[in-house]
Amino acid sequence: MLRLSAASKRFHDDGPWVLKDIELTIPESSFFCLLGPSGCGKSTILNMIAGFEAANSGTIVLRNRPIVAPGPDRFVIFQEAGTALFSWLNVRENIEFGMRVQGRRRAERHPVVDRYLSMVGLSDHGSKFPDELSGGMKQRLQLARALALEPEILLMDEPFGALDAITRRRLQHAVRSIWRETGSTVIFVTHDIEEAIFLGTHIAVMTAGPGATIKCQMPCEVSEPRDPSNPEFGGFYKSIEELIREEIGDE
Amino acid sequence: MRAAAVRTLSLLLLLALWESAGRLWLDPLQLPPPSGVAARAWDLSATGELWTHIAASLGRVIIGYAAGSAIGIVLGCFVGAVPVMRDFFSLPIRFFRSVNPLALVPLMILWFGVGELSKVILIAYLVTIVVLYNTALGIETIPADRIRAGRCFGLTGIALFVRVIVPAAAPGILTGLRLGMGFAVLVVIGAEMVGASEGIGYFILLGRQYVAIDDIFVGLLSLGVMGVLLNQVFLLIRNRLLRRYVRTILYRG
Repeated sequence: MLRLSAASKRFHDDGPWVLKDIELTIPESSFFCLLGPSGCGKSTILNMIAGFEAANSGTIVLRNRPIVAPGPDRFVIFQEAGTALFSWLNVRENIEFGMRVQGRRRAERHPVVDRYLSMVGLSDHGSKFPDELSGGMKQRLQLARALALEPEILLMDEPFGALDAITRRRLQHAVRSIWRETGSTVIFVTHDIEEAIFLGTHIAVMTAGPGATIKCQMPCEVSEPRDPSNPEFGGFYKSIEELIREEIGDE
Repeated sequence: MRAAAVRTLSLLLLLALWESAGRLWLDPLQLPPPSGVAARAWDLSATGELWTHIAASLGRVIIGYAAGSAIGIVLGCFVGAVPVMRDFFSLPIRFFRSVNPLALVPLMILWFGVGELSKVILIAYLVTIVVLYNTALGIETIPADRIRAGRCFGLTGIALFVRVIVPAAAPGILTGLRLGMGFAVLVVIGAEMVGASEGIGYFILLGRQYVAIDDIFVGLLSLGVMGVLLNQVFLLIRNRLLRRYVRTILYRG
């Protein structure tokens, strides 16, 4: 379980608080969607969990250990796959990289690479370089590269925001089935209500910044298969939309 | 294929223009046509004289370039990766970038004599600045997420530097090395025009003293060819052995 207690963040001493007293409890193996208006500080929460940024006050604790630095137990899927991937390594080598860092032997690495290559559907593209892949394939590669380390938590920062609608939907399906298969916890930042309901087991809605907090946190119990045209889905959508409208008004 | 054809055409047109200018409009003594320059170059290389000068200049370029590149990469890594170093070196770099190495020739001779050392140091000086600057820039402009991804793998310190930062900065480093090579060829001539007894710069100066304009042209031509060939060798090595590191340059990835 990951718990943020009274976590607050500002980027300059005496500057305005970006996040104020964030309270979040993220259960193990959940698909946790963090939803909020643009610029409210969703990514900053993710960066604190990743260990890139330290909270100015409050605590962030994973399995009773405070988070102090990044580590392979929490892997980030960045929005811009093109910059996050290593352009000098081909697809296989990108996936292999983490295992090489860990000093695992070649014979041990190769089956793992094959497994995650096929899990994300890139088996035929192993020797291509990232610049030869489409946007959706780059995101799949980022996913495979992270999964190869079997992280406890996958941190996804609006990973499909830059993709076209069809590719996005295919990747949402892929991420959901990978999440089921691996049992990792996924923390998924998005400003897209439909995406959050489609994917999540839990949804937290944030208030508008500055000094944003968690407005509410709830389980997402829409029945499977999740279908936006289903009235149950639509009803849940309406109630969350209402929560967000309270924050940003009728712009 | 089309690019190669256009390049050949450009070369042929240039030669045709030069040849006809030397024959039709201008005094061939003032502007010897390429055919005359080629004949003169043939004679000079047959006696070995031209090769002596080319070898002398090339040797200085290579030694100065190698030394300057090594120093430039090491310092550039510090400047690019360590914020304190960046602040520390920022003013000196801007200062020395505006001091033309040719202005340093008299000082170099007083300090290091008229021998090889002063010439090599002059080349190394300029190459160091160019490589340092581009290496530091290459590191500073690595996207933040690329380094963060490296940290997600648990990398920190030297391991992060070697496995992620250096390869990610490789396009910048290689740009510096390529520019530095061009500058080395530029500055060697200045160094050779004072107190040298061989080298293309010396040979050109000699041409002025004996009013041997065709010799001057042979010298200029040798310089240009040397620059083009060195650049080709550099690109060959880069695109064959280091291709994966320059994909962002080659394919705009």
